[in-house]
Amino acid sequence: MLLVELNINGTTNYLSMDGQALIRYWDSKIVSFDSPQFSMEKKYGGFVKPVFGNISLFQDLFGNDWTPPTACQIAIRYNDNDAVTEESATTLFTGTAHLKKMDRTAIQYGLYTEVIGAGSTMPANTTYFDTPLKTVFSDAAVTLGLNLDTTLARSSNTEVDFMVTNEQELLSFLSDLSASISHLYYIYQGTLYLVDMFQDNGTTTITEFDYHPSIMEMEPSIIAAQTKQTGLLHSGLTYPYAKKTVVSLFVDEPPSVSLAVNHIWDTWNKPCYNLKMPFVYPLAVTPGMRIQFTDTSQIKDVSAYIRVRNISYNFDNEEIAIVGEGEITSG
Amino acid sequence: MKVIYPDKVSGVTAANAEANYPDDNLLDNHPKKVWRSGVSKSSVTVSVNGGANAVAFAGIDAVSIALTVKNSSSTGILEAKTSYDLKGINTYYKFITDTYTLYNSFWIDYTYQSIAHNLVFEFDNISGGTAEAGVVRAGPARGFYEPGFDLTEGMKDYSIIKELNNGAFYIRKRDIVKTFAGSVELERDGDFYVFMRDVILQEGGRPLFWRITDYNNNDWTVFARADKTLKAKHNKRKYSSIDFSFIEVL
Repeated sequence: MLLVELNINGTTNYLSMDGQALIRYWDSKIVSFDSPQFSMEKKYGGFVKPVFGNISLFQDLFGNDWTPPTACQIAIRYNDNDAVTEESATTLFTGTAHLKKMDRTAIQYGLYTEVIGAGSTMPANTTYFDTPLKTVFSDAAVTLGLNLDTTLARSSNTEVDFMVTNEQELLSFLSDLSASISHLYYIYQGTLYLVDMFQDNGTTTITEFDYHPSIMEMEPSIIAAQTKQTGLLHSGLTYPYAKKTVVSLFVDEPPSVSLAVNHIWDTWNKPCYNLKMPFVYPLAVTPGMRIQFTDTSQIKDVSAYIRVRNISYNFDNEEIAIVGEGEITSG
Repeated sequence: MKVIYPDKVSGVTAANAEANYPDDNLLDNHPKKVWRSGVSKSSVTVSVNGGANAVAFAGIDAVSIALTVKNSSSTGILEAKTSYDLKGINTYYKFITDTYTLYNSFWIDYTYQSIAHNLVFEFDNISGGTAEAGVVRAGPARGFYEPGFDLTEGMKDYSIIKELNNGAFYIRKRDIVKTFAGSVELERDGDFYVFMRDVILQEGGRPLFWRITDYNNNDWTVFARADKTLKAKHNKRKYSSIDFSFIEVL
């Protein structure tokens, strides 16, 4: 059950989707709640960014506070067991709800959480020569006021050779940089985690009781990159009919360029699952986690795994969608 | 078939109430949003304006209840105390209960009171339990003919049920409510327009207490709203047939 505390002009209102009589009554004033998501910025890596979307509320909630206030403090909690008390619910989100849309049926607020890295930039003319990726992130973490965890970052062949031509927003720069060297990063409770796209950030195995019929997709691709030393370099010409994607790199030495392009192609061309699961919370899913499963609903059994890239929590249908690339084998 | 309309309740006062579940919760439209006494035995005084002869509760949790009709200052008794067993159906007392869902409803007819009066209820729950109720309404019971033999009763299930990969099902049990549908034939120059214009047109989709009766004198009390806009046929010289569809509210 979803429990929402919304402060309207100094009064805390306790809200739920369908009315819950717990220690207090959580009134059924929520029309809908967009799925909170963690979404990787590029198909081959980058910032796994949290997006909390919107919450729509019935108009009568604001009957004594008309018109609806521009901004309200909000806390959103969830517990998958209706029988337990409200105190044991897990906090999903705390932040600000800002008035977004109003129509005859509902009031919609956009949800905004703490802003990390606001105003932090990568200055123009910053130059890196043979600088390990971890070092770039270490400097950036200091600027952002975050701790850094590079336990799962690659230790070799990640040297950056690059000069920043135009000033760039720091989180965005780090996203482009990490993706080009096949890493993702995410921020959780004051720590920035840098993870190699080919490493498992924890492992879990699920059974067929744990997921709904799901879809595997593949998208053939040719990856191309251009650098001063190598000129135009391709990976994936085995599939000449594939769509070509040009990526930006932050390396220049020919072996590093070749490795980076091949890694991106490897990631892009793996089977990708959109795994839909019943809502079980807290579900210990983190970006990069390896989820192993079997699928006996095919003509022959399939063993598969994915690494988590995108996570979407659908509270309206109590469903979690997890997207990630991986491998499938027979049996 | 009867409906309590218009509502004549002017206020409620409970002897006991938990801070988060005050007695004012009895006056909204949500049986799930209960008044909770916090004790097994408690009383509720429902103040009613003149012109009422029926009272109904939804979302009640008690094993028995007693009603005394008193004057508006509660100093004089207008109708002696009558006790009701809530554990079953007892039509002898013109008392209708439906205990088959979580949101139990019941209806009591009492002597018509033309002036303001108080309905004093004594709730009694099992030892260690807490007496509670969701909604109360009191007013005139407007009567209509019984529905025809096309009366149907059903359920609407708000649960989430979805297939898992191996063919099993994920089931998240949520509320299930009762539905009633049928038709009632009423004299056009009379009850037909009372039903259509004096009640439904005034209330629209807001819930009301309905007491639906079949030809065998079985009764169902339900706090329900019209599921869709009512439609009627003027298909007889003096009579018209109304198709109704009610859904219990939560």
